Amino acid sequence: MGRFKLIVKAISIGKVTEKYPFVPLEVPEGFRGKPVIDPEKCIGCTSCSNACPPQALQVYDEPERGVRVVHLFIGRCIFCARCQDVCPTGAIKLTKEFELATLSEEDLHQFVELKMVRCEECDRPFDTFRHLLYSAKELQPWEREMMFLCPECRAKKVSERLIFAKGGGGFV
Amino acid sequence: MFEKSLWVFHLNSGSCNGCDIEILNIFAPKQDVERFGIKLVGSPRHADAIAFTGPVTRECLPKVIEAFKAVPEPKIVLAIGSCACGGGIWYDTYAVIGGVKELYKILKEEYGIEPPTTIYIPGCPPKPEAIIYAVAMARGLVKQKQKREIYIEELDEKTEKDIVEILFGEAKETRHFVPNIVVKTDGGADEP
Repeated sequence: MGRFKLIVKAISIGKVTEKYPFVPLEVPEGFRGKPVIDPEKCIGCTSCSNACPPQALQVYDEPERGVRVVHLFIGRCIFCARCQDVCPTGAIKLTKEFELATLSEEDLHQFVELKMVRCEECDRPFDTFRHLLYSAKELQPWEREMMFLCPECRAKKVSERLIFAKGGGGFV
Repeated sequence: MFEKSLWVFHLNSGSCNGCDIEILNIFAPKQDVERFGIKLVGSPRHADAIAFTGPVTRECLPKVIEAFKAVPEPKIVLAIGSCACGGGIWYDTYAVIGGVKELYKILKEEYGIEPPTTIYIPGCPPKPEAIIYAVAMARGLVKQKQKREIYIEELDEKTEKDIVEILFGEAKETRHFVPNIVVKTDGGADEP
């Protein structure tokens, strides 16, 4: 290609450079950007933290304060959208936001703190109110009797019943 | 922060090349970052900024520290990608230090170097525009959007009791299902 032809081609194509930081950019459909937890919908069921490959989403309990913390650290997120797939209530969604640059690492965190229920027998917090309400829909009314017991106390009570019930075992 | 042109040294510390290709992309005609006066340089001694990619593998650590020392002050670090920001998917493996934050700890403890100004750009890899956004932020053209968010659920004792009643009240009505239980405490084992 001669020099003249090259100039003609360059002029015919024109400018291709985006004017990005001065003009907002539209991202394509299905773009996976910043994940955001909707705190009103989240029930603290820990399915997202089980699905997260880099453990950017962590769910841990703080028994002293009686809260369950859903902690999202975007600095480690790989934007795979598995949390969005497994969330039972649709609380976590990947938005189209990609301008995530920050001057401090602390700005990359999101916390959702949910109140926990205390066990009736041993007074240990074991689950969130929202998760109990969510799972209560699946249960029959007579099955809800042991809902406010932690798993250990529940196992103890069930085995006690099996052993000492009227017309039941009677021997250990 | 930097009013004049930034000269950038690209420092790869064990990255998978995803972020490196995005860095090459922003120097291409479509996202032409040279309009902000940015230029890639070959030597850390010529650079103002470090384009840092990768989670800092153990093999790379001595070279990374040498390159860090060679960049003159004042410098700025662009931590590009999830690996550089927080270790990424390898944050707790034995072969990896885990991002710039851990690197700064080592630099401070062993060499007494204060951590420089750092711009974190999460993404796996970040969009070329996301890197341009960070560069524009370093030049003071745009402002930071991302903020720390904390939500604390507020439940009064009254609403707590209401929830308990909703769940428990129905159960009490149909309690006939559960037999009355007498717990024996003295030696049930001997009886047949």
